[in-house]
Amino acid sequence: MAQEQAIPSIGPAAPEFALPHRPGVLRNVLKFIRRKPLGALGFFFVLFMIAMTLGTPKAEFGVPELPHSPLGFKLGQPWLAPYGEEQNFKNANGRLNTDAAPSTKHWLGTDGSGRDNWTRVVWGARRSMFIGLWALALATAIGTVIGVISGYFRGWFDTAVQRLLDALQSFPPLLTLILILSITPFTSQPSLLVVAFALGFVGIPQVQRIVRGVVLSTREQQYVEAARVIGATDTRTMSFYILPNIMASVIVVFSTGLGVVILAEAALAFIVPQFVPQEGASWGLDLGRAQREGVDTHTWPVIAYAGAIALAVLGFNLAGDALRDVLDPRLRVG
Amino acid sequence: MEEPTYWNRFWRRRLSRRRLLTGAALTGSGLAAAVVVGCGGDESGTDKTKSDGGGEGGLGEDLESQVPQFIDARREVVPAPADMRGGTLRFQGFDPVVLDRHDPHQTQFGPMYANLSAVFSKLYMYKSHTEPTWENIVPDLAESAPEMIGTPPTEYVVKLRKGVKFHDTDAIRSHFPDLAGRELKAEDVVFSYDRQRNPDSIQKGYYYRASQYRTIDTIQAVDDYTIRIKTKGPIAPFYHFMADTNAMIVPKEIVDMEPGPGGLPLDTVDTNRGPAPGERMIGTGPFFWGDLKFGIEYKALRNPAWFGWGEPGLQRPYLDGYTVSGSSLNDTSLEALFRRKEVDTAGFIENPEWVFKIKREKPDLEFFRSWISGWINSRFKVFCKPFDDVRVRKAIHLATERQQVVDVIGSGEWRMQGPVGNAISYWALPYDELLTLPGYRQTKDERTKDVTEARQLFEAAGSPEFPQIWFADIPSYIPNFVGTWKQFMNQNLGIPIDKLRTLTQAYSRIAEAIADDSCDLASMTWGFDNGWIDLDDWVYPYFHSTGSKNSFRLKDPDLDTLLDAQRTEFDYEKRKELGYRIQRYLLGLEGDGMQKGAHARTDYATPRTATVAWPYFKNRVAFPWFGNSYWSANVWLDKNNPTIRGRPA
Repeated sequence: MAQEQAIPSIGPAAPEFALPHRPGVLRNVLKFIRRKPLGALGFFFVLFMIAMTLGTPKAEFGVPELPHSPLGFKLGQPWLAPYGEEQNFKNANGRLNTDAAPSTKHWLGTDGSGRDNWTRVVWGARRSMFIGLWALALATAIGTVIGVISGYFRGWFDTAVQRLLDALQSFPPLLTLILILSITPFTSQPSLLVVAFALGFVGIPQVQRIVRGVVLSTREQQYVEAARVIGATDTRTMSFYILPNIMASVIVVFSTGLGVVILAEAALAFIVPQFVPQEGASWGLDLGRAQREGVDTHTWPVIAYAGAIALAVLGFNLAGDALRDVLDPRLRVG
Repeated sequence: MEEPTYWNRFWRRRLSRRRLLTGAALTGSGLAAAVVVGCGGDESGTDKTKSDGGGEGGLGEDLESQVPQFIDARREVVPAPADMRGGTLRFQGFDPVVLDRHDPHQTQFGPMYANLSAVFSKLYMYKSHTEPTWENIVPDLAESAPEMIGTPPTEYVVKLRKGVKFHDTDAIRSHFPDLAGRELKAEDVVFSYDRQRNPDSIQKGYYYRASQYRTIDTIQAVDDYTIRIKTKGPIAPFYHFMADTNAMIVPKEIVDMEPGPGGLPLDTVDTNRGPAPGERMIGTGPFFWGDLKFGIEYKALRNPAWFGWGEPGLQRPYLDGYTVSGSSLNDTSLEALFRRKEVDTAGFIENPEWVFKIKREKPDLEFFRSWISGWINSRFKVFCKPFDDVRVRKAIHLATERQQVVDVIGSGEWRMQGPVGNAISYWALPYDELLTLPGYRQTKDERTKDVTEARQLFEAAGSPEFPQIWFADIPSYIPNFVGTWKQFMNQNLGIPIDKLRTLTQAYSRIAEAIADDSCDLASMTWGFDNGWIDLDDWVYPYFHSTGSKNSFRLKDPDLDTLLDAQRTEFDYEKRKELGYRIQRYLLGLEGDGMQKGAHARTDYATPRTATVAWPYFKNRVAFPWFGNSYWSANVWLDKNNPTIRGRPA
């Protein structure tokens, strides 16, 4: 007969184990706003810019095309744009309502072609944002690979790669960009994808330099040594031990870089408009047009487009700084 | 204890004076912005800037009374005192943007004519543009007006000035020792005219004015200074042909006549054998071809041995040279350069407001306002679908919002244009009549009617898809206009915006493409064309089936008959009437308006210039067409004029 064995009990029952209470998302957001108000302002600008790019997707698939089909499917009119990209307005006399001051109908006035400046700012955000994302994707992907390999292996490979990229970096980035875009096939058929790739190409040295620096310190960590001891190959070490641990830096590079790329794209369109596609709304192109025709008469377009560029760049910089503070434990305070 | 946050620190701060002022400034700015937003009217109906497309009124209305009727070579020329000679005139222009050939007979780019006209001379030239008739043609290389034989004339005898020498510099002597300083002879004229009518030349496609020279039956040098030209029949504009913008006399030594492709002579100055094209620019004009930095600067230098139009005692040109910069061609830069006196004269590119403003500020400035012989148009390859259907072309003509072209591209300063430019008002369809025609009339009801007809025609033609439309890349207002063009084509013809595919291209590429028979290339273009002088220049080369600029591939026998008729009509009034008929035909106003030649080209608008010059700039002239730089021989800089102070050396 099987005897049931009593479970001995020692002392009073142990209290139920409970994890510390985790604050909710909203509380975290509020805490972030309180601690990093400038960073929060930056994130607000960034989120607003992202919102400006959004539109109803259409079931039209194909090769990615900037700016309205950045992922291979087409985006419709931005939700925040009240009018069409090229829609112009007439006054009561049937003439184009050009260079009008801000009003309830045109929050930022109209441009020299009678188009709504706010609408152009919103449509232009899509162009700036997606060129920036494509450029940064390219620069970050290639820059990270080069930076990781170069920092991990060091030696002659590292020296050769670094000197080559130093040489590339010694040219002013804007001149390099103009040089790339003035190659005949690109000038005869300007394309935003080419502009994005050129911007990405120019960004590679900067990204890889930062990544390499982080890899140089990461590769000396004990867990990396441990991985080597247990026989991990170089590829495995780089992929599973180094890369995940440098991702915080990569994310920061990406977020701060986006502001730089947006500024570079606008500068390019402003300085050498002939090298970029001239169709559609573009902050740099539209600002350049207004400036060339006279700031006195085209004051509102200048304020609208220059303001958009300034706020976008400011937003990405502030957000990037805040992100760095949050992700880098050495900079964490309080 | 309270957590130390940004806001804790913020509220604990003391209110300093600086903070108070900063806050007040920000609040004030915010309020000001709010006021501006609140006061900004919606489409109130007030046109604060624009003219009515007719060019009257507009921004500079109060300045109209100060505008001279003309500034051309009829104005009194003040000879330069001996101590006022020298110096370099400076201005901005498209002259260094050489997008075409150097060969004076193989270029069709207006700014290039400007460069060439200071270097090469012609037999005759215009002294005024107000009425481009025989009375305003004066001798250049010729000694006097031609002897015309026959009634109407079919034979012209031209006597050359004696002692006219080709340019002579060290560089020319090293490349062309036999040419440097050689006297111009009748053979040079025969060579210059003959090459342009040679049907066997491998360059025949580049002789854009060949249809003028093909009217010549024989041309011979009777002696060193006499040329006898027999035409194939009475040709009314032949005297004009000898004074036309590109009737320049070039010495044969500068032309590469070595065998080219197919063993035929290469027959061009634009060769890569021997001296470069720029080193071959050797003529008899008042200035040497100095230096050309593409897109940046063109320099012309004084020719001290110039023949001086029979007045060598004046020792013209007075200037050491002139410099044209092409690197800052936008209104903001031009205003700055003019105010700093880094340029001596300037005009607007897109927005004339700065010119009016500076004239009001400084009333002493010489101000000039005139129509330019040039215009924006669309050319069609009429053999390519869908433009082979005249209904489609007419629909585009009617759907075009020309007033928007005037307002957006020309800041309201431009004017709508028909097949002949308004600058040549003598030959152009009267502007009042033009404004009553479909496509040009602008009242609301008339526009509605035209747009409705455009939509009906387009739908009757099957609402065809357009091929890629080629837009010229300069001036910048053309590519800038693409969006507006798409917008009104979408609104008026119902073409979805994403189906309107466009491509911005350089003029050189467009020129190649329109010469190509492929319908995939530039079957509709959008660009600037420099305009001309005589009626014949405006219509014959473009629309005659044998015309040298007939990129449309137009073959319309009825139109050919009209074009031939205007060539043989010597009575100016009757010829003018024929010109009007041709223009109405092209606008689809003859018969049922659906002839092959109707709407082969859609003409949009023509620019009006507004320029200012500092008062120290003496003897300035301004013609509506390109290629008058030889008049710079009269220009000098008045060093006693107080406005010259501050002019950079």
